[in-house]
Amino acid sequence: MSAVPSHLYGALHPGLRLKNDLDRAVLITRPQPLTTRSYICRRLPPAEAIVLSLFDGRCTVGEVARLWAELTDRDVASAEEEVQSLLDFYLSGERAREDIFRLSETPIPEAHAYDPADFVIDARQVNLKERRLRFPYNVYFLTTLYCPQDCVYCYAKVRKSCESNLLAVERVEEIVVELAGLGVECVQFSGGDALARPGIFRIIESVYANGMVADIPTKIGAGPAKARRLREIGVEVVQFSLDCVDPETLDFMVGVEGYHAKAFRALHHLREAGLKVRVNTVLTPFNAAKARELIRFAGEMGNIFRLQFSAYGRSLFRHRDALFAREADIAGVEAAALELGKDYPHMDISVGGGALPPASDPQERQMEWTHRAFCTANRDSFVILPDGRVTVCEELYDHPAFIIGDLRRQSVMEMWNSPPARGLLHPPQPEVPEGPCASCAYFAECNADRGRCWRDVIKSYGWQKHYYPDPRCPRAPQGMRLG
Amino acid sequence: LDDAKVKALKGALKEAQIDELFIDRFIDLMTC
Repeated sequence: MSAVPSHLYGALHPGLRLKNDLDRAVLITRPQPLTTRSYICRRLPPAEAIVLSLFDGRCTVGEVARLWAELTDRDVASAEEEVQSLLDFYLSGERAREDIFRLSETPIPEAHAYDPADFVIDARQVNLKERRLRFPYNVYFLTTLYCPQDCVYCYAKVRKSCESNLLAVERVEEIVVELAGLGVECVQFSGGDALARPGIFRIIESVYANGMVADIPTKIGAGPAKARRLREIGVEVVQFSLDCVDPETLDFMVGVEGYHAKAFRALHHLREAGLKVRVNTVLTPFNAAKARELIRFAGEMGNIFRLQFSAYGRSLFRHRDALFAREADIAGVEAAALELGKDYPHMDISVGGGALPPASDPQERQMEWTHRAFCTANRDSFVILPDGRVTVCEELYDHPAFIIGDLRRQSVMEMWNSPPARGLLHPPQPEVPEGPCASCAYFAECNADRGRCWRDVIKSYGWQKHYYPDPRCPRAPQGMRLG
Repeated sequence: LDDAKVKALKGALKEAQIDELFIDRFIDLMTC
């Protein structure tokens, strides 16, 4: 790549965040309700973070090079060479496609202005090897597992009434303050139905009062007063699950007679309150043929800015094979999205989900496995259960093998640094009772580095066999179909 | 970043032995 002209202004994409992570820095995607970015996480040595932080949208490439020369007491030519090597890295290959770093002929006002001093970390202490973040960044809160609906495809471990041992609202507020202090930017709510918990508005209020945002999925929505209150608190976006607009099919899928009328009312209340809505649709053979009407409805609403179709994936708690979307179902929805999407340029439509089986060619399968994505559970994120216990992935719920702490009696950082939390990525191999992992030479690296998808393990082999291999692993036995 | 902050930062970098930038191209990733 040729040298970047020195008169250009530069800045990181505002959807990314540079963070001090104790003995290194990290560049990570901000989990914002309106984000359209892919998720990235890169560990950085302090010098790289400092130079990136100098690109505040108001400095040119030449000015940053001169400043870096001054800061490190060297000639400008050496500093320029280093700054150019950084730009070459971030503006080439995969990084360029991911739009990580931007250049402009004019200043970039939306750039975040960091204090470079935040990234001064003793070079002798730097650790770039360990993947697990020193401070958690993505936090999920399952407010309650109660849900008044009874969806045929539900993947959650839902219940028919609210828990009697919910974490006290006062304690949740204390946790929110601690999370804000750790640099967490977004609390991602889930459930059950996140809004079905008593005291939920006070909790959401606390999130915004502490400078964070909330990502809120719901199927019950909110009445006019509650929708207005959400907007007044500062909520801009709500995720609403809507599987189709045909009343009979919708009521069947949600398992509640008359649900469709409530859903349409709730959507109108959200729009009246000025809230943007992201719609999530679970795709099954029962609703695939109704996708066109749903796209039309969502597009005409005006405030629905994203419509995501996710092909049904195996539910641990209420699976039946008839729910798996067929190839023709998915192709039909993709065609409808392509055709009708042009009429609604304000609305992003995506079709995804449904697990692909591992490649049949052994070499290809090994390659896929070696280059699998990192699991972020217990590396970047954790999940607070309704009673305050902590697990590592939303779909593991209260599985005892994955409970890493209890915020009723621990602070967030006590939990994050506790032996169960740190030890989960370094399980003792002799304790694996049976199965391919018990004798695998790759065991330690597999668990500590990219990880096994624990959720898919228990979906494939059963709740009790959490120590089994990831079903994508070349040594894994054939498990249950996932998607 | 004013002059005073640049001066303080320069001292802090020296103390922390941060004196050059090397891009490690092999530290990783894309991940209801």
